[in-house]
Amino acid sequence: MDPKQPTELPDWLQQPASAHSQASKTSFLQRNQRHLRSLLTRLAQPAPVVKNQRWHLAPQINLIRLLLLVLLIALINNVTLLWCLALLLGFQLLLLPPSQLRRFVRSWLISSFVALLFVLPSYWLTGPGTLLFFGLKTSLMLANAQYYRLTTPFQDLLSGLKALHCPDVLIMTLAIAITYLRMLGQHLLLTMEALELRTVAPTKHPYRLIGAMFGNLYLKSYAYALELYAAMEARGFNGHYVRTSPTRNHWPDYLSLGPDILVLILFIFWRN
Amino acid sequence: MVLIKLANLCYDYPNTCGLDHLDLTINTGEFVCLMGPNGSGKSTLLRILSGLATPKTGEYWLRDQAITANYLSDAQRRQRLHQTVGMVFQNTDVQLFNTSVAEEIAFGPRQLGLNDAEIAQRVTDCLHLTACETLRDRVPYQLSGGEKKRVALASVLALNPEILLLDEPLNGLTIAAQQQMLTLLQRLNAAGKTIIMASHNFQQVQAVGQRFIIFNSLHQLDADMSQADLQSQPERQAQLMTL
Repeated sequence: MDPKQPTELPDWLQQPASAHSQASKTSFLQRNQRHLRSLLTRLAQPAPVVKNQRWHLAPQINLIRLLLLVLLIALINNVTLLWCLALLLGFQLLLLPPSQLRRFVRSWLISSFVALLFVLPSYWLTGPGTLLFFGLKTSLMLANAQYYRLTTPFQDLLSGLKALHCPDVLIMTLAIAITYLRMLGQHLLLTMEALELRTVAPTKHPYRLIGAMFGNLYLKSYAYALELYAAMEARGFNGHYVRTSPTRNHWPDYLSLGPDILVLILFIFWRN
Repeated sequence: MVLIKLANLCYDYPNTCGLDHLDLTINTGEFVCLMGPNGSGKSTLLRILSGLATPKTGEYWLRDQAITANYLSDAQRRQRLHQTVGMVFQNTDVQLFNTSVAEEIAFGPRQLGLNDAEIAQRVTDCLHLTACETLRDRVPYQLSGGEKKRVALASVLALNPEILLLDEPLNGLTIAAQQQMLTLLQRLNAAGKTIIMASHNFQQVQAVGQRFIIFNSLHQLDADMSQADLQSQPERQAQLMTL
């Protein structure tokens, strides 16, 4: 701004604003703005992860347990063994604080409902028995995945992958993708808030506005990516993703795998 | 005349407290400066006043209307609030979403149903007030940080809001531009606008603020004093200088 520039206020700015008469018609964007905002808030500010203080395991063991459980549930067709795995999960859930348990139940029910829609065609192909069985198996898998998500911070997932000798490129891509997905979610959320603050009547061209917003988001993500690469190069990035050294396993870690391995052995021998 | 009244207001973020039991009254036509360290609750208070966030407990009254989650759930009432309360964000990057600066400023007046001549007049006036005439046809995305701040202020002014909320509006501006913006804000205040400005730079705002509301790092109201009161307390001034 030029300090010498006059800043006499125009007449319209010195008079109180007259209330604008609102039209009753609202656009699709306006009707769903609040829902979209709450969705973006959840994306940008994920629920806090509560680690199990009483039973803290090494990240790689947690990851192996999850993979093993999902594999077992996928392979097992014996109802008794599946019941054992469900009991095992139930025991772990008992150790969660009530708020975390509520969050688990909600996200588990929602994801199970979505999964059920995909399993539903089996009803017409093989009947209700198969639908129920596959529905329960899918639901049990999702419950284990939700439990892992709610009790394992993202950093632990990366440490676990590193300890399991996953390629550096994969870990780095995952880390950057998750971090920047949240950043862009935050950017979009704030843009929507700014838009809402200046929305004093139904927008005449809502789709043009949506296009402009997402165009800005694309430009922003492109600029972020370039800046990130420049910053990484400036700090000596040479293509290798070095994280803190993986935590060592202790006897409780191996012990925690016991029930799962027991079910695995039972599964192998029961089959034969 | 009481314009805004907050009673026992609390706001929580998922992992931390945002505001802790805030009681505050702001009168029509005041120039209020919100001061305090980073993360003390200044921006949170502005978000609540603008209707972007609803408090966990407590009451927010705008004149004789309680602004509650239920009130804000209605799109028309929300729009009425946004017509009364304008806000310039701390990060103005997210506030500009149109394809040119002129379009950005015209966005609000166009919704108000003004005719083309009135819209053009408002755009020209706002560009002139914020010294953005040369930026008229530029793409907002490509502007510098300081330019974005000025365009954001112009786009909010175009709606002629009664209450102007500004979150760190002087950051990223040159000394001359800061002075120019403060002069503009003083004139707006003299014209009857209520201005609530968050800042952590006391040196910049000490001359213009009529009232200083100071938060502590516990997200509580630490002090609420007029400019004259503050002038008589050198210790408090020294404390604010170190924020």
